[in-house]
Amino acid sequence: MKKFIYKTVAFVLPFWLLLTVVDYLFSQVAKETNDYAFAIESWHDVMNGDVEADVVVMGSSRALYHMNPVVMDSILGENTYNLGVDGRNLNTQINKYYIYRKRNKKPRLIIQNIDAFALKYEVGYNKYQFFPYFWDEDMRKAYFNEEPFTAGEKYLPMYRYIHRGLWVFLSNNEKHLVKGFRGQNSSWNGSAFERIDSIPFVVSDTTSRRFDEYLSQVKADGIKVVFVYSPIYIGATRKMTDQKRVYATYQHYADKYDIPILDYTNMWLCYDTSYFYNAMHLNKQGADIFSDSLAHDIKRLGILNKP
Amino acid sequence: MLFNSLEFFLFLPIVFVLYWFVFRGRRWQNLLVVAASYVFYGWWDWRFLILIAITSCCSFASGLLLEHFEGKRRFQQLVSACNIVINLTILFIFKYFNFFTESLNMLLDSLLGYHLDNVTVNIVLPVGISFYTFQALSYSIDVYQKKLRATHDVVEFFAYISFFPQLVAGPIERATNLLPQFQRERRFDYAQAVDGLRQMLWGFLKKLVVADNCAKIVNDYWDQYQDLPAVSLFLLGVLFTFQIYCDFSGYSDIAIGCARLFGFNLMRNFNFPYFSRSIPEFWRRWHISLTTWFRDYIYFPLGGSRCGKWKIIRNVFIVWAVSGLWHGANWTFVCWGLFHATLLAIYNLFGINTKYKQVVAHGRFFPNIKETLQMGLTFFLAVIGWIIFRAETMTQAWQFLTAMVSNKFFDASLVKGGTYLLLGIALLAVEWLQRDKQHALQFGSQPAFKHAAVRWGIYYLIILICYQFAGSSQTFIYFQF
Repeated sequence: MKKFIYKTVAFVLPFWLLLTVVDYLFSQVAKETNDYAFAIESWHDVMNGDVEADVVVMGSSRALYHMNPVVMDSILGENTYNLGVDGRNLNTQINKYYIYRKRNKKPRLIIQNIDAFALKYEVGYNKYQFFPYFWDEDMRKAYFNEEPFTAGEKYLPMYRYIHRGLWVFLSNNEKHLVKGFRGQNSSWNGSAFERIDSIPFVVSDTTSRRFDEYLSQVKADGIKVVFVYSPIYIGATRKMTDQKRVYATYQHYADKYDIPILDYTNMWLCYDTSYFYNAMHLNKQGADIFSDSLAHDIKRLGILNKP
Repeated sequence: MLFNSLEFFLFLPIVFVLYWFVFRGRRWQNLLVVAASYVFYGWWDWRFLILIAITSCCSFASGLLLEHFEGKRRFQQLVSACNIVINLTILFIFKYFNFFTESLNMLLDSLLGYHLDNVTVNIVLPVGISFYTFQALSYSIDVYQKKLRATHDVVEFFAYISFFPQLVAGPIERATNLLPQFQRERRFDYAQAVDGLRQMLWGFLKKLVVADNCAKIVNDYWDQYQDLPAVSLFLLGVLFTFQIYCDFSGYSDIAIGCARLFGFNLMRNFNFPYFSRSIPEFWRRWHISLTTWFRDYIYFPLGGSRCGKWKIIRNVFIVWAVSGLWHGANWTFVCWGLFHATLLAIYNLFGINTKYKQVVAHGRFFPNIKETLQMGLTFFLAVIGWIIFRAETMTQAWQFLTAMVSNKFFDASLVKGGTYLLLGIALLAVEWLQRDKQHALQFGSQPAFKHAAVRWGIYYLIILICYQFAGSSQTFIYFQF
């Protein structure tokens, strides 16, 4: 029995330790990748703590692809950073904000993109973006139990990388984001949209509660917030089944925390598919026009200068 | 609790340490086995523990009563019959009630135009109910047939019925093999435990790398059979053939290996069936614990092979209809059983000798042409059988099989299963090299394997292959039976 236990430990322990060390080292390398919708590239900036932004953009892909900080900076004269997370609703966005806040300076303004999808609760999309950060305590707290990681991904060192394919994390380190923004140089491809009959508004209690807490915290920190309904192709807006409830829901938060709302869902470019690459997302040209318009409106309303 | 779950990887070492270091002595160890097994099973749904307990109590009591009525054959027959009826009634209610009522309803509807309303009930199928029911039946039948003395120790009997490595998907143990092992002191055997771990490792490789990946392709494409070219349909059939083998024999390997860690030897359940040269040989190598169960408790009592040719064929059809039904409450399983019964009858009618004394290509590296053709034909027939088995309805099975000959033979819409097909073939290639062993990682006397570094290198390689290729976790197919 002693021999059995000794040999079992001798078999498992060195292998485990070796993989654990390799896992740690590989994670440092994997942080440099830009894969998974460029999410890791954005995490890299956030975790390094050198963003130093006065204005941060929050939202899903409809923030990531829509709000160009370079355009906005030229009008606002501030340093803007886009924290948009592709395919993710408010729950993930808020987690990212808290991690951002812990490692970066306090912003003066948050531009919070809102829409019919933001209050859903969905996890799992692009969960690989968190892989290089399993060694980080804040990231573990925020995502380890929330995301649908398998037991192997969670507890077996190197499993998540080997299983996913090491080359994915090694082969792609060209930078694509500009201050967190991803400009999409594509023309209209609305084919998938044609098959959608309706776009429902789904509200999760968990996400709503977290959103409320987040707004409360932001207010307590003295950070200004502006809600933005960014452009959607008008055909998609017409398919929204519950638009009144969407407006009423966000109006409730706006009233509660004294937040202005800017609505661009009826902006002139929403009627022209040449500014979109699909029904929900502007292309680079549309994003620059919209960012310009948004920055001018923020400046005109004096949101940054209000006491 | 699944073998391929985190819970099991914590559960197993805890039970192992308690078994060998804390619960010393046979009785205490048996008690621990019962407790651990009930935790293992109750992890799914604790309510079904009541069913296992009822099955165990009935069979235990029947053993005592059979002993009590020693010499009174009538009473013994009554006791034995009562036990069989109770066990099969539980099985019937939980597994077959809806199937039979729906079938009766269809029959009445088509013959008399009479339709029964609300005849089905919402029943959850308890995991592994067919396995432990058959194990319990084997005990009381063996006691009745005087192959075994009834046990008076309720704990060892409960341990025999619920022994966690094989509780939910076999091997279906015989009381004559497993029960005496609970009745004697167990000594830790290093070689046995190490070989058990090897067998478990091979089982995990089969399950995680081949079965789970093939399952994904098969599940994704199966319903598109009307649009796929014939070659893709055949590929799907082959992938399912690999899936079901690696899933089920993988489970058996893990179960047998796990039992060996605790000093138990379970019966062999698979003996490299895809290297069979005929369908009868295939069935001597596939799910051995079930086929021998049917042989001993149904086929032999019906007269077995010691009767006229037509009676033998009748017996074969009865056994295989029951065997099909055992697999699931669906006509596809019955038809699958009858398909194999037909093949077995053909072999029997033509008097084809299938009683091979040696493994295929014994003493040679490659099979000869005759053996290759025999194996190819047997594999092909097995694939056809598995297509019937996998189909959700007989209509689907028929359409799938006809699409294999009527659809275009080849076009661009091929199934993306090439990698997994190669993995399956690679696994079978390793098993081919080890086909005279108990399992593929049982190293013989080859000099290379005498070095620990070589053996450990192989183990590490298998673990890394699992790291790389493990598919999304799927439950074991045979749990539903």
